Amino acid sequence: MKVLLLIATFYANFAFAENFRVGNVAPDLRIEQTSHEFLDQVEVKKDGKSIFSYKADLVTQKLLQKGLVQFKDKKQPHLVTVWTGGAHGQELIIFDLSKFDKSNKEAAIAYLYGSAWTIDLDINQEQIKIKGKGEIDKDNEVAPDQTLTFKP
Amino acid sequence: MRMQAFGFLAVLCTLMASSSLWSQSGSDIFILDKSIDVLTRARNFRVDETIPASRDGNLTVIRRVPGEDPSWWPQGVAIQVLSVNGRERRPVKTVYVAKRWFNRGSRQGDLSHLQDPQEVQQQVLSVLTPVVPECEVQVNEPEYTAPREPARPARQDTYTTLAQLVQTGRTPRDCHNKLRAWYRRNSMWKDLNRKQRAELIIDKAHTISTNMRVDGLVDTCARALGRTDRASIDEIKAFMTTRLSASEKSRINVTNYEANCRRYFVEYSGGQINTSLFRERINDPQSIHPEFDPSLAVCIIKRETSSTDFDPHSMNYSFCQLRGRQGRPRSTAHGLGQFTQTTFLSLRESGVMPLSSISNSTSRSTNRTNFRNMSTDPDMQIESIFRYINYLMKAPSSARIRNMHNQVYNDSIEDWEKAVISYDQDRASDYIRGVHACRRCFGRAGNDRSAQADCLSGN
Repeated sequence: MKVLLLIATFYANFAFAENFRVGNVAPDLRIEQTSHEFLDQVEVKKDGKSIFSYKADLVTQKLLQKGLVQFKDKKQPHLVTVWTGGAHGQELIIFDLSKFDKSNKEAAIAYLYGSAWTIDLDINQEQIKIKGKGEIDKDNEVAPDQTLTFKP
Repeated sequence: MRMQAFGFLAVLCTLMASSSLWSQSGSDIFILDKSIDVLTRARNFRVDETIPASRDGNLTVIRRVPGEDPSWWPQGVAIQVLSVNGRERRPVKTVYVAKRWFNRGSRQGDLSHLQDPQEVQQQVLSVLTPVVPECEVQVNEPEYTAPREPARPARQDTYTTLAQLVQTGRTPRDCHNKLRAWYRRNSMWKDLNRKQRAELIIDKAHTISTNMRVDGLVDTCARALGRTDRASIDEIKAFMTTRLSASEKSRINVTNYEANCRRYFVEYSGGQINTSLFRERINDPQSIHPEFDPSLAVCIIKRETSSTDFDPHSMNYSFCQLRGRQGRPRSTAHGLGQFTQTTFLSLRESGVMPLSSISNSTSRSTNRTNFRNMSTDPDMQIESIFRYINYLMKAPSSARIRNMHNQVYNDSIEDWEKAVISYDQDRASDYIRGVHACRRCFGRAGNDRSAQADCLSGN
């Protein structure tokens, strides 16, 4: 029984685990990650009630990172997510929670970035710096560093 | 000359026997002596197809259809392609070509006017009738010899070997060099040059894609008929394999499953058909999308592994550059399709990627082993690309995929474009342009596999 309880607690914590939380995000906001018929879904709940949800289109889109960012001068936080995508690569999707529309799952998307490489993020309350790679230089087979900035 | 007559007669006989196409005036029918690019969709100037010219007596025959000239393109004319290199085109669709080209082609002999095809047929028949019964002429095509494949290594998992190797490089350059040296010394295809590798890939792509089509049809037909026992499946497969021509097999997709299944039903079966199974189903890997084509996997392989001359052991160079970075991936892409383990496992566990050489296990540990063993199995690598592309063509597309398409082209996105963009996550517009160019080349190559291999191996 103890073992079952431990396992249940572990999974409950894992499902709600955030990778980061930046700025003064309300403590009653929580991120929940689930999977239905092999499609990952991310949900933001306030006091246990869902205020945002987004379901992946493809079985190969797996949620790798998630976190809430409260930018300065914004009423609602942004949800920052990194997903696997394609045969190889990652996709960054930033959602503006204030624009959530149940009938249009893409309405809240504030920023999109896809890369065949891994995506690193540098986040503060002003902006998010996205560190990725550009296209491979055909001569020396090296992909140049590429930094993009998202400001809400 | 005799070969030419055989090929020509076969086309005529097939067409005459199966339709009334030739019963109309022959004045609108032409033999194509130079390849042409045609628009395959009304009002869409980007979707084109290359119709190859007649070759070695195997005729490409077109018909001018003035009644269907495009009102949306005053400079264009409507034609129908009746046969390509001796093979009948079914169904016959109207396509469009520039009026100026058509008129010049007629003048300069790129188009040979066939005044009266029935008369020509009679002339040929009168020479050959004692030897060959009417309309039972075989098309004698040059025999195709499949390229020889080197033996696979005894040790199946070269993925682990290479993944460990890239950890030892001091710098990205050092890491790249170590990989290249390994390919040179140990690759199972090390004794094949770029063109030979391309020929092997083309051969595999055709075989695998046709097998997938036939298997998809057989599986769906068996389920639609409620005859899913092994013996029934084998019987349906034997029927489809023997009764469908090679050309018909290469065109099997979900849109003609019902027609093909009914051929079996009429002859052998009875009872009910569940026609709902013939609709396109996203998560059913046996539902083959209408735009499914060997060129898709071939052109993705070109984009992904051209720098290693299409080595099946190809390991993603990005792993060499990611030392110490926080976002280092858990597995690196490898093989002709550059799959990561994460992608492979996601597709296997959700059941959308059955592979013919392994069981349909959804166990994670079994599929980890399968992923590693795929490193020495080019067939499995190519089949994985086809399965994933077929799934992506049917799945909904995200905003990012549509945006990427719209940055390059200003028309509606096609399913195969959506799949190709989804396959590679880069925002690189070069990727989709490269696949477009590769597919155009493939189209121009017609049925010539050596020319198709040139499309893959060329720069």
